[in-house]
Amino acid sequence: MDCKRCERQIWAYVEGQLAPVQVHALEAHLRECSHCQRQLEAARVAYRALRRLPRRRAPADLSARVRRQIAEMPARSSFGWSRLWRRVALAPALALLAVVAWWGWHMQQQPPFSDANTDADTAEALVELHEQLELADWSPSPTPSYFISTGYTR
Amino acid sequence: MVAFADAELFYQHRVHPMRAAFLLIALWWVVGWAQEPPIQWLQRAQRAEETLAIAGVRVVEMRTGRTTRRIEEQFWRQGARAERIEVLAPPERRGEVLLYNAERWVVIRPNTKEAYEMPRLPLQGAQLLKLAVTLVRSGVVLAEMLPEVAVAGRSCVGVRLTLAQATLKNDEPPRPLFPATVTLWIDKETGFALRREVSLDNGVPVMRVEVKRVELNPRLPPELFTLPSDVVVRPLGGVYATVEEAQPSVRFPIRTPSYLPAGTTLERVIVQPRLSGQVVVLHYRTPQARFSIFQAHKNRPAEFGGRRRRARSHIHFWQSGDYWFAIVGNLPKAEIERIAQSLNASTTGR
Repeated sequence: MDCKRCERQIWAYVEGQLAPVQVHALEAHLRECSHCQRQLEAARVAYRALRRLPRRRAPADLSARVRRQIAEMPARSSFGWSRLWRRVALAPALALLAVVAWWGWHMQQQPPFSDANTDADTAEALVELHEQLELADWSPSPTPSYFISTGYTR
Repeated sequence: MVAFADAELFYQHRVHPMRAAFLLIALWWVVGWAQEPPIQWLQRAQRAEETLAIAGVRVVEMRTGRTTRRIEEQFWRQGARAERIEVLAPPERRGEVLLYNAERWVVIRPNTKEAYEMPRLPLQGAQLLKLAVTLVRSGVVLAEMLPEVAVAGRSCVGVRLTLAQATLKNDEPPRPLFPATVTLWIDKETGFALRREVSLDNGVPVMRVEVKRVELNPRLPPELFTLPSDVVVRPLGGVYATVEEAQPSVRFPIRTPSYLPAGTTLERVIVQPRLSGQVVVLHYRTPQARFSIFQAHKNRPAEFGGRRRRARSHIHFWQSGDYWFAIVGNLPKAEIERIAQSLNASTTGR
């Protein structure tokens, strides 16, 4: 596991939402990476601080008060550079969002056994994994079997 | 006159019957040792595996398809009773320790106070050799001696074991559960197998395990095989003995086939996190074959399916509702299809 991936998973880890395998991988990385250890510590501090914040109920008339204040605000002028800029920037932002959404959807469509695109690659990956399991059983050492289960790299 | 002289000569130089018997026995022993059949070397290797105190460094190399894995490890063995392995490579796993004692394997990761118990392992070195002896005796596996070579500076004899019927054909009964070829280089002095090569298909080795450095009768203090007292042992995540054990760590219900060939046992369940979700592998074994069922859960199905065949494996992969399935193994095609149908039935049944 690299630092980038570790950082992505740190909050899920702090909140106890990771699967055991992910926890093992993350903890192994944390043991060796002081940078990520600091990130984890910071996340924990923030998490604890958030948990300690008192919870208060909003006043019953809050929504009505906000609406009233909005209604009382003076109307803006019909033209402004900042408004124009926002409209111009909206198009690429939406396009980017569409690309990200497509990519996410596309990843969901991939056969989960492989990151490859073709049936042939998927079949090859499955055979490789099956053969690794089979070979590991003929090994006098249990290490290959252990590594297949937990990943060769951490 | 001539006949008399010959008889006298004979009596003068005659060999005592007892002496002749000893000479014959010695000759038989020397010739017998020189031509010790492979099966006896296998038995010696099995005994060495079970009883020998030995330490050293060994390298395991596995090549499957486009992937080659190399593991280097230091080991200390007290026969089949206890073993300690320290991983040297790959560098990411360096320092991890595998301990075998009291019939269980436990993994200790460096700088932690936690250890992980591994599920039962299907085969060990001694059992492989025992199986080889049985199969050679029954003629299912052919054994031949190879010229001597030096491994780790020690003189070794080679024994090559070849499965009599190695290729898988459609509709023929499955072959026995044994690699296509196993070659062992057995230390002449101790009987310990210092190098093994395994090939699954066509004689090209895909796994090689070689002892690079060896120390006989090393000092093996008991603490070498003992877990530190302050270490907490937990089950190893990611690999499980049963579906029930694996289920809590999987985000979808694991499907199991309602049909399995006679004598099938579940070897292990592996849960692998992938970029696009979790994959569950059910690895089965029958008396003659191994096969793996892969499954994953997806919400939006896409085109995915097909049948393929390699020299010794049938591959069948398809999609059923929200599930991806694949079966890989050296079972006959008809059996794989029957298992696949039973998986579909289990899906719709839920």
